[in-house]
Amino acid sequence: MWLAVLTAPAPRSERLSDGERDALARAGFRGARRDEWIAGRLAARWMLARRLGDDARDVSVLADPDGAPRASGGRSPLAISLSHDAGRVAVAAQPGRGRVAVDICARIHDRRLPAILDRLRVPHARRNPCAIWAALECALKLRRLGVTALLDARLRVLAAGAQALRVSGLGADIECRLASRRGFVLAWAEEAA
Amino acid sequence: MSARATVDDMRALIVAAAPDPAQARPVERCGPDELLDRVIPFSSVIVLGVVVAVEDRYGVRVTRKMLARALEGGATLNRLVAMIETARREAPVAG
Repeated sequence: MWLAVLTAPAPRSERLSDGERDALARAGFRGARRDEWIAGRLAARWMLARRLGDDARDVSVLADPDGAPRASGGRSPLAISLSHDAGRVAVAAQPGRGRVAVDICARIHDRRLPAILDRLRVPHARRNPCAIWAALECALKLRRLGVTALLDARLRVLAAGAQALRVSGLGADIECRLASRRGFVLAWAEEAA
Repeated sequence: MSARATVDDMRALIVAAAPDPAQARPVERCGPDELLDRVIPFSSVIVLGVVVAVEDRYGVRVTRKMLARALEGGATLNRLVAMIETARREAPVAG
């Protein structure tokens, strides 16, 4: 899997592909939401250019009806996932028809996440709530579930080695790998089609 | 509390639940039927932060079904207020 975390690029819509500009216009986003959407696509474009070279020019990162990013065009299928938080963009991509998911959780959320995890009945003991949250969001994305799936679910997030968490309660268990950095936690996962 | 007052209350709760309140401020001026996801980055952290705040403030339990109804087709302030009304009817928390 290809992974990258970038400072959110300046939201210059002229750098989007034609397909991406059309999608942005249809979505009707404004303000910070629009900037975020553009920054995610530009971050993806940057990473794909590094990995695919000139072939990346034909790839657009559009969105499925549920908002999940979808790579369109290019020579071969490509799974892609984006995450935005606190001025950063995370991109995960992988050639093929499988699924990938990534989530970035800024540590500025550390203060508010325990109340949310308590509400979801996810044991956390105030240990690294950002990692638990990133793993939950990553699992939701991998399974194409909305945030509502977290309510009334029997969720468990348990250590699966030094740098991974296993999420139970959203179908078959999902193992999310983790990278902890000073300002954020990154979680990512993949699944065959 | 009137429906309009509840809408204004929702605006405040959303801003308070946002990691970056400045980015969420447009919700203070948007129409009650505007899709919140078009106006601000209406992230999962904000959605669940609002659920926690609503349950605490209004003494209700928001179920998965209620939240799903509020988010179906995109959340708006009016849909969130309707969610609170449903929760008050169907899932008040004693105490």
